[in-house]
Amino acid sequence: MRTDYTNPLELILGPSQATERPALHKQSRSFRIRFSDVRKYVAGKIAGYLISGAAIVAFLWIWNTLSTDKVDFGLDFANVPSAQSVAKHMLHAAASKAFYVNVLISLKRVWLAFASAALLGSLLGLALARISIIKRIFMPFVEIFRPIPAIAWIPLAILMFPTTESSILFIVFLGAVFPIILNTYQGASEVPSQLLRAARSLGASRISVLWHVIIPSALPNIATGLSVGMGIAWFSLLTAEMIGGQNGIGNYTWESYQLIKYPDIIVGMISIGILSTVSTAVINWMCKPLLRWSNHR
Amino acid sequence: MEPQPRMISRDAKLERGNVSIRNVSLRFNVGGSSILALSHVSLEVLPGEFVCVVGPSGCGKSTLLGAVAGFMKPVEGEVLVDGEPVRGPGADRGMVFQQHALFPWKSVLANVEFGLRMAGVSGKRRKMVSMRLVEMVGLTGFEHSMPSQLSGGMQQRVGIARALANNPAVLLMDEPFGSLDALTRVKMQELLLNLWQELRTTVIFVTHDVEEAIFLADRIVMLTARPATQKGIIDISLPRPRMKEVVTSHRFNEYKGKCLEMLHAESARPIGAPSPDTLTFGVGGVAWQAPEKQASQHAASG
Ligand SMILES: Nc1ncnc2c1ncn2[C@@H]1O[C@H](COP(=O)(O)OP(=O)(O)O)[C@@H](O)[C@H]1O
Ligand SMILES: [Mg+2]
Repeated sequence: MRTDYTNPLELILGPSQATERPALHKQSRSFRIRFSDVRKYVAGKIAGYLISGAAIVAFLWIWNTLSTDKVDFGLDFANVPSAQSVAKHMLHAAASKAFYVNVLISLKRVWLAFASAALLGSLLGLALARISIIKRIFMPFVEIFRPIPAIAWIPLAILMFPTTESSILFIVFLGAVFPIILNTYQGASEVPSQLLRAARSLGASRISVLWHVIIPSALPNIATGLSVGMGIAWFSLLTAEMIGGQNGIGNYTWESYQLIKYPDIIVGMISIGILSTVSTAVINWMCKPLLRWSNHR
Repeated sequence: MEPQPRMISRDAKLERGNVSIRNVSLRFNVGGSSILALSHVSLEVLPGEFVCVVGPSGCGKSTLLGAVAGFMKPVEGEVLVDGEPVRGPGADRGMVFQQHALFPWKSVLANVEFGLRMAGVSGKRRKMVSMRLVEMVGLTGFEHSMPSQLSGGMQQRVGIARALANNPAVLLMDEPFGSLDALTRVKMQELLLNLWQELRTTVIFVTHDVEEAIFLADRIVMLTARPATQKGIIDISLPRPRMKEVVTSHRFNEYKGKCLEMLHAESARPIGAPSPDTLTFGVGGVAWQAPEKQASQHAASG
């Protein structure tokens, strides 16, 4: 029995119809692609998209029905704005300057704190992996502070830092830095010893080994760390803005709740999702040219 | 065993690549205990000589090369290369590994250039030398390929070119063809002999394939099972240049017999001593197994 029903057609038509796809692969390998196979393959793809689209439409319809009828079955939809009103507010927000100011403020915070975390985190990760004295000194602290979520630092950060802004940046930095440190550490610890030896016997100095062997070898892990770190950076930022901020997209969302502008809560949520996804995509896009060598291994 | 009593020319300019392994013992510390990998190994390799080191797997062949390369430090004895004691890895000793030692993020050319780059050779000259080496190992047209796009044999060609780029005094090779198929292996052996004939670099070549060793070497050094000590040395005076056809010759088979004999003696170790692993004979990698059994047969028949 197959359990990975990746092909939506398979759910509806049953396995017998849906086996058209593997059949096509077999055919194409022997350079005998039949038109009927291609047609079935394309039809399968389109059907897949249609099903996904239908699911989204159904979701919106259920949401709308629940909220306009103010259904309450334990979960209370009385105060949940309808999809239509959210759409309306979204257009409104998209035309207002204040909304963009909030977005830009949040973007600035995330990228500033993230850039520092990326720099410091990867340097510390490399040092932890390759310099034993650094590992002896700093690894205990990494182990102690790692399990504490960045947002648990918010009260202390507000007390410690001179400005709200700096405390928010600190929280975001803290959220992003640990995945970066740990992934870099792992990547730099696992450099194949053959490569280190090869480099050394080709006359590479310690710095050259770092630059030409350790860093490239750790790059796939560093990229993972950056990608994960970016996600956590947004997560931490929003919490920090909700609790301590006077502006930013997190504050916008929270303020919408306090000012009873309920559709704007969802506008804020959607914006956060988009911003976080796009930021992570940018990171992945920036790392991609450096990782091309590892793709076809 | 004493170092080979041979005359060594001290004309360093003409003849570099003299390796003296003097009474070297080497231990690995694993957790609390330690493993003795080499025990009082001595070997004198002459400039330009091609020496094969043969021994059962796990006996300490890689460790011996590692000591010459400077990756590991002997607890006793020392290694001298052209009179200079080895204190660490250096560009005067090129290393070719069994596999997976190319920088996967660098192209073929960048891999070959690496040593020259480390030596501070200018870009233009670097490229010229590397292109020539890529040509010598028969990889013209693949300069810009990535290692992962190459077959195992081609990867080893790159490995050899990369090690030769620095013009090392000694080329250290650790079972470089061990993971290649039989045909590729023969081609690589011939390529290596051609390169060596041209460059006259000293080669220390580790293998567990006796036939490979006889085909390549001027001398074969036999090691015992761990801890490796020198079992004996066999001079191979087959004519050069050698073609693969030599393996069917009478002399070749005589050498094989000689090696076998030495290995039989090797297997007649006291009970409880570590037994040698499988040794292979022949390009097809036909396993030569159960030395105890063969030894007893030999003893019974003789
Ligand atoms: N880095 C290491 N740490 C601990 N033991 C090692 C290490 N390298 C090799 N050894 C041990 O030393 C012995 C010799 O190893 P090696 O030189 O690799 O053998 P060979 O190359 O002849 O197969 C083996 O028993 C191996 O387990
Ligand atoms: Mg080995």
